[in-house]
Amino acid sequence: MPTEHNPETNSTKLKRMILSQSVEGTAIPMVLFSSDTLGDADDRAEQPEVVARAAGGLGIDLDDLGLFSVDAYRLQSALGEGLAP
Amino acid sequence: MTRWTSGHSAALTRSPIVALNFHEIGAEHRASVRETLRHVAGLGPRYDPDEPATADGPRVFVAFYDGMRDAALFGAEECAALGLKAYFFPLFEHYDPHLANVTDDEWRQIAAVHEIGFHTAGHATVAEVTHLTVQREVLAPIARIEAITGYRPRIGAWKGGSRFDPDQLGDRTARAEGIRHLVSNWSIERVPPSR
Repeated sequence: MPTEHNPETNSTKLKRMILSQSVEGTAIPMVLFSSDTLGDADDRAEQPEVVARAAGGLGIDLDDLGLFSVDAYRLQSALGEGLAP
Repeated sequence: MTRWTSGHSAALTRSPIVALNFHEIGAEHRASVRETLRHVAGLGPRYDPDEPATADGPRVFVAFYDGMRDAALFGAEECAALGLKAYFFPLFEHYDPHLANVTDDEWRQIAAVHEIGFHTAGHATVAEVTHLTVQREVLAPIARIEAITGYRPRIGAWKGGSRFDPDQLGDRTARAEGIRHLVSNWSIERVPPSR
């Protein structure tokens, strides 16, 4: 668990993103971590292509990405959108 | 900063929680919401925070926040028709009583099929919970959910989607009142036990 629990929860950018998704009122899936998947931090795994592709599309550098950040939220949103009908 | 590793990527793609989060649902969006609910319901079993993760495959978490009346009643009915037990996070002192006036009796009917979680009384962030507001924002809504449903809520969410922080009075109080899982913008995590 990180020592700083909510480093970017108060980010204005994040609030705007969440608000825009909410006001839209449409159903866009989002993928979330569980306690179990958060515990799977083995860095020797290959980056799944779907994640690498989504990150690339968003201009996110996976080597420099923090959990619980605005960019993590953007990436998780994009991965969720990939599961939409 | 806790780094996002390739292991996190692999775990997230292997066994994601696929969440659909709703607040208001405009009448013009109902058809697409219905279609997405049907699609997502077919992706995997319902996410239950007390059940161990499946080795592979998504689990589905459908949540309706704030107790918006139209969305809550529509969502409860649509999810029930799909056999999908959803999560509802009502506010009891809503910022807009015209939008959110689900009665306790209606919540009772919803709770007979779905699950009710904690979301404060008046839409407080965890940082807004102080010794002056903790009764109103944490203790009272949890007691009210228990009175409505017959059970203490086990899952909660703060406005703003923050994760558990033991330095916050609201988090510590919610934990003491039985909240064991917290929905954040990124995760649904077990609340760590108090030491």
